[in-house]
Amino acid sequence: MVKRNKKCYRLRYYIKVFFTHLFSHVGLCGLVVGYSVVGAFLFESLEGQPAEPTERPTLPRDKRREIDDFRARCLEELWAINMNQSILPVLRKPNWTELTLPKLQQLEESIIGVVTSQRSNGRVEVVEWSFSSALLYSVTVITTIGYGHITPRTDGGKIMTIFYALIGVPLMLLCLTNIGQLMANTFRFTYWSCTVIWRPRRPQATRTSVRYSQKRSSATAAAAAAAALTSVSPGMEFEEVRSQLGPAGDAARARNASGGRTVIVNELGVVTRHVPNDVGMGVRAVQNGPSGTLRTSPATRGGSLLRQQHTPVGTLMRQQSSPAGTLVRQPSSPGGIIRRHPSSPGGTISRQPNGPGGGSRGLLAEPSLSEPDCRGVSAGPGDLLRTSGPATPIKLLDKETRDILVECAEYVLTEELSSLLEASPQRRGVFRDRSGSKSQTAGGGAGAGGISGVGGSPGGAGGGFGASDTNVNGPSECGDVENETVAVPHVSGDKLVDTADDPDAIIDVIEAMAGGDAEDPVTPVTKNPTSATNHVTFSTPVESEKRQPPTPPCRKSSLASRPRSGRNSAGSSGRSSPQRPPTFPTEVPPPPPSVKTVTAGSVSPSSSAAERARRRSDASPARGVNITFDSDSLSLGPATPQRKLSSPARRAAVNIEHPHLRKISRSEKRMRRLATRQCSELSGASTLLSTPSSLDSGVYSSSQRFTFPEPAAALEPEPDELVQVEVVKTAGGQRAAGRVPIPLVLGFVAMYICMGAGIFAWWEEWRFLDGAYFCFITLSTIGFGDLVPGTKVLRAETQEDQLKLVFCCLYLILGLAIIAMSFSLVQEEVIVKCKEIGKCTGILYDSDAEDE
Amino acid sequence: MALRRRARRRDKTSGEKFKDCCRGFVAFVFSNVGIIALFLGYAIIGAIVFNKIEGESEREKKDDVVELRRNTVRELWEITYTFNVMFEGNWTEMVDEKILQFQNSIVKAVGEGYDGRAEVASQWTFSGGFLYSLTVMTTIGYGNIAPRTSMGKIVTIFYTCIGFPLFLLYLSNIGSVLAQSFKWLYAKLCKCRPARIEVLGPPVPEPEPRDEDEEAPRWPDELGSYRSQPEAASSEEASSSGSSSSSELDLSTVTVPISMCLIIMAVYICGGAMFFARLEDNWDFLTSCYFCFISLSTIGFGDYVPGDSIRSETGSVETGFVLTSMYLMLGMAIIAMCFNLMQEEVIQKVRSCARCLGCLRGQG
Repeated sequence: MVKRNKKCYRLRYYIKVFFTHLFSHVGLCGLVVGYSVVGAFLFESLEGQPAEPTERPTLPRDKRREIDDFRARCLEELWAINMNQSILPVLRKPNWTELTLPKLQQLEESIIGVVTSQRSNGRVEVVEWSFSSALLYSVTVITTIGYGHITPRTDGGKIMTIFYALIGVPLMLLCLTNIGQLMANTFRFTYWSCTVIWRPRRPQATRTSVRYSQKRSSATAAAAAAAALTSVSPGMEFEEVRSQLGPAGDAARARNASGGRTVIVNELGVVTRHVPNDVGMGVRAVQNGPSGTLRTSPATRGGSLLRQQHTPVGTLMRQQSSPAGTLVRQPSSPGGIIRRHPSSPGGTISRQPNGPGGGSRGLLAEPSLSEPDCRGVSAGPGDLLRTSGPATPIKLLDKETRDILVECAEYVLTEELSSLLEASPQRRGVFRDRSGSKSQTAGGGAGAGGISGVGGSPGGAGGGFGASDTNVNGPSECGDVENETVAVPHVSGDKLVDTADDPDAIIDVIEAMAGGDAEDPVTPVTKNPTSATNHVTFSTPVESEKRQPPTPPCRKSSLASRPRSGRNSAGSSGRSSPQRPPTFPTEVPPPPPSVKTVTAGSVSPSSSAAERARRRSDASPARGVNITFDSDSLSLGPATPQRKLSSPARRAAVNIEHPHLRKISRSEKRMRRLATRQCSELSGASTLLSTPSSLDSGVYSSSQRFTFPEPAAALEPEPDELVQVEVVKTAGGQRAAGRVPIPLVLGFVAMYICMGAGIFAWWEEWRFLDGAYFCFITLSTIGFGDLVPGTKVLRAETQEDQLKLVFCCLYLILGLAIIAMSFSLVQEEVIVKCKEIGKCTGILYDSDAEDE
Repeated sequence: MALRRRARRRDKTSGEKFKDCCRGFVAFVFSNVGIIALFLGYAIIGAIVFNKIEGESEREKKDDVVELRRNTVRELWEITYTFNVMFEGNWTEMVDEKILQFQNSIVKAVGEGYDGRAEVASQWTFSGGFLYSLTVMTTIGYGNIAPRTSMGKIVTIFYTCIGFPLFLLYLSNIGSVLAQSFKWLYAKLCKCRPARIEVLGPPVPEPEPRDEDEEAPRWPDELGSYRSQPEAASSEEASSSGSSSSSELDLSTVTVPISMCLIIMAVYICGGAMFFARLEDNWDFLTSCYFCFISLSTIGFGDYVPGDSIRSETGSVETGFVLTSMYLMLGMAIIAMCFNLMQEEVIQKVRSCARCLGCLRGQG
């Protein structure tokens, strides 16, 4: 029985594989090609034989000869008129003309008859049924183009055509929709990545920004942990890129997001799954730092070096986050997410400890937990919370976010508590070691070292943060101190590392300002960029001066940054750069306070936000902007943190828009819409994951709780759920985000048509307009057949014609796929537009729009 | 449109009424009647436009060719006159040259759309234009009538860009309406024979929703939680579907077998074939079948087109065009309906197949 079952199993498996293969893109294409080739043979054998032997090779010549014959006959007749004295005794013009004219007309008609032989009187003239023409014929049949330049004459051919089309047309449709979808995804992805790359250079376009935000959101969501990592790390790595992109830290994020997207787009399911794994790994990674990093790296396939660098960072982040538990989820949201997540966890954690409601403040009580996250995260959460307050559009979200946060916090708490409490010391050691090793490995070169240092530092920091923080949890400040100390040694090893650590913490949000400043002195390095190049540029003048003193010891600066953050948190105004430099060594202790402050900020979002805003304003406009963004993003993030995807999207959107937002009220509206959508999505997702029914109440979702206690096993299942949710979100998000403007699609199609028009016009010596007309008529499957390549009347080269026919087939099939692609793209866009219009005109219109 | 609407709404303080009006209008436009009207109206517009563009040029072209012929004859006379003494060799040489020129210009004219049927009524009559715009919109594209002028070609391209989506809209709308009504009819007929509906109707739909709803999301984790829910769901489904189908005729649960759809299509095609075989003198039944299929599948070779062989009699051309247009418009909708029904059936079949495999797997 067992064997039989196994056999059945195998059989089923193979059948499954076969069918999946069959219906995969390649299989479908192969099927269609094979089918058309078979059709070509079939029709050639059916139709070709009678006419083939004599007529086929000489068709054009044949026609020419035919016309020549007509002409000669006409000539003879004319001469006969001249010579026939009986008819015309004397040549007179009127008479002669009268006689001649009919002859010429006759000639003309016969010429026309030859030239338009195929269509005259429904009588199919002798047509060559070579293989290539038969191939073109079968292709025109199954694509329903139907030129009609070649048509079956025999009854067998006609019946065969009917049945051939019965099978072939649906097959072709299936293939086209499949390929079209694939191409649409590819196109969408390339478009997004292109826009993401180009976008930063033109910050003016608000619309694009919105789209970007959407894209980012989707991408971020899909990208999940990898994306989050990339976002953070990319910031680090992308420094160069940023330097180019310079103006906008957003750009860097966008790129990160794009990277995430790529992964997502290419392997939606896979990526998402990877992400969950990563998440799970991240959790594990907390335990096993390296493994997490490795896993992350695969996730970040897209970004080569940068991603690799990122990956370490990301892994580190994850590791850090993973301890938090929220990290796992957070990873979905790239850099911003990480920050947020950590923050969210921190915030959530804080809330949770206190009780769901006032948790954040309570967090202060539990600084240890929050702190680890807090450095990086805590600020984030605080921002998020704060932002939630300030960010009007997201208010609704805030609640959700809070719920989410609560959930996250739950996760984090459970994970952190369980894992950290249990193994925190070991982990610390491991992390440190690994982080150090990672940092070294990653750091590698000096220049790279900066980045690597960042990565490594994050690793170290992450390890330190996670472990130390977790450890710290017990002895909050002590732990922090330890962490810092640990970090410092690393820093000594790698200055960058410290900075990196700082950036991590700093990056989270506003603190990044300080971190960036600190980093700036150290190296223009990536770290700052992560937080924001803008910050760097702006901040450098202000903060750099203050920090510059510390700059020589970059580590110090980084440390300072940490302390700053801590200080900032402690005294929001206290962050002022002056304090930072001096405090570097001392700063170590401050970070916990900063965390606390952050948490406090989170608790009182408005106040924290205000503080940050002040800081920003103080620091520099740019910083302020960035901060605002961060805060916005954070605010968004908190809402969505659990739903990484949506939250990232929101964040991204917020981030993107916010820089411009102050000016842009429209963007706000859009954002609101997005937010609402996301919220709705998120709400669904949240319910799926674990309905945090009473988020505020701080009730932990039972499932989450249960799962968490067992970090390894429990985490994995959760990730799956998360993954599913993410997938769903990504799918939705992509649709929303992955829209491509109609003009672009049409332009693409027009380009393809023009290309074909050029080629055919050149080959067939048509006018360009005729070529374009032919291509259009062909690709729209109208197929008049008044113009068909390879059938030029008075020309003899048959060999070339054969090639042309084959080329025509290829052009045709590819073109149809492109048409299908553009159709799906345009359809989405049009539907969305219609719905928007419907909503604008009235709620009831929704139904109409949907009908469309 | 949207802007206009918005602007208008702003103007009108009583926006509600206007909204209702707009809503009613849009609802009407996108209702079945509206879509048919839109479709027809668009085709008529196309007929008029193409008639204007192409018909004029066609007439011009005809005049050009006639003029060309006259000129050629005059030149020939010049030759004959100058060679007062006839040497066949010389004369033939000269005349041959002229006629060659004439031939080339004729070929060129044909390439630009001259079809030599100068005496016959233009094919760009109104009905011809209507058939043309119909073949363009439906992407049949017989090609028996095709634009010859640059203007006509450009207009065709843009006309198609709008017309084809409109046609798809028409197809999906009318197709679904027809499918619904046919389902209803089928269910009614089956209800008369209760044994049959029991077999066909309810049992099939049962599993369908479960697969869609439950299986898809749950796919990733095949583990513990997977089992319990589908069962519960299935039981629910069974109860619900059973009740619905038995009590009131739920159209969504009725599926028409594929064979039925195929029969409908075959009948429609054969009916058309008989009709066209009678209408067209020299079409046999098979040819008519072939024509109907090629038309309705939108392949549209154009090797057989109604009214083509009897062009000389203008009246029958008109009727041929008109009848063809009617036949096509209805036929497309019916084909769409059949595809609609067949799709449901096929999806269901495939799903049940997959479920079969899945069940086996579950047991294994």
